[in-house]
Amino acid sequence: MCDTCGCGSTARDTGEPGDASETETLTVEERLLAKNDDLAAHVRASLDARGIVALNLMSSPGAGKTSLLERTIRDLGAEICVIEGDQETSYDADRIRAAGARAVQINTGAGCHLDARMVHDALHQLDPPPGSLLVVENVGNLVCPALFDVGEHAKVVVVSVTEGDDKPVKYPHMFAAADLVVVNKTDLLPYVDLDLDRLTAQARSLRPGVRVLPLSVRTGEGLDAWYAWVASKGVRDGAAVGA
Amino acid sequence: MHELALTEDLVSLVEERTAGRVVVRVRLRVGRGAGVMAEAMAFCWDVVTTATALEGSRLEIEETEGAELAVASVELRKERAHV
Repeated sequence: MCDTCGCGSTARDTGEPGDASETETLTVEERLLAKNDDLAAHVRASLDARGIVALNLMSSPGAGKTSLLERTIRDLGAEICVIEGDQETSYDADRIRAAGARAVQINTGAGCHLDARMVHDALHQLDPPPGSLLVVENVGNLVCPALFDVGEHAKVVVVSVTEGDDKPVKYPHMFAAADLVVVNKTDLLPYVDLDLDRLTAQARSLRPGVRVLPLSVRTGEGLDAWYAWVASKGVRDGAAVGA
Repeated sequence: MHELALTEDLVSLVEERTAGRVVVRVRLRVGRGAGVMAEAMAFCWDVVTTATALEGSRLEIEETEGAELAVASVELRKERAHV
């Protein structure tokens, strides 16, 4: 029926059969993400060797990842380096530098996520000092970044109260991978219908026991808990204490 | 659309494993929990394989339970013995 999209063909087969007598089968049995994951492990080992703690910060666009980082850089006083991922512009890296931290911007063009290769190459440019906190601010997207290990020690997912409390089950891969869920913009709670308990229950149905941390970057409410969590990963004011 | 990037990775992986041989078919297993749309990978196959050693080959995707995303096997055209 439809020649271009393949909807009429048998299950996920791109067509054009070959002649079996003319071919031979080579067994491969290799994970498609093996190369990315190997490189991510290499990145993590290099960071470990220098006492650098890395966070992979993910959210939908506009949840407040960059704002959280700006405030963290200003409040925490720790050595923080940031790799920024966006399809276009260096707006976020500019903001991070203005807040006083080192930053490298990656523009992914058509790409919807950062992968280990991009982070590896950016690290050569960024050269974070030993004992620093490295934050990889991923492309704003609750789908694709969940799949790619970039060499981080923890994945942090930020969701803002205006997005609704049903996001975890709508984007299960992201929330299943989360080591921490930050709920930003709590200053707007009086104006929205978000049910924090429902959001927490959904997040924990995907990642049992995951910590859910409500905060407001704007007012500062809840930020102490965020800083305590960051410190628990091995980074504290002005100095790292080892991963 | 991480499926486009993954399909590009798949083509590179197969090219590395097959070293210039003519690839007729690639068999991939995609778990339902892998976070990957099998249809999207099949959809971009022709575009991604154009001008590679896999041009004209076919992608067969077996959907499985679990979260795996793995290349099972590759079918190659037999090399004729020299006379």
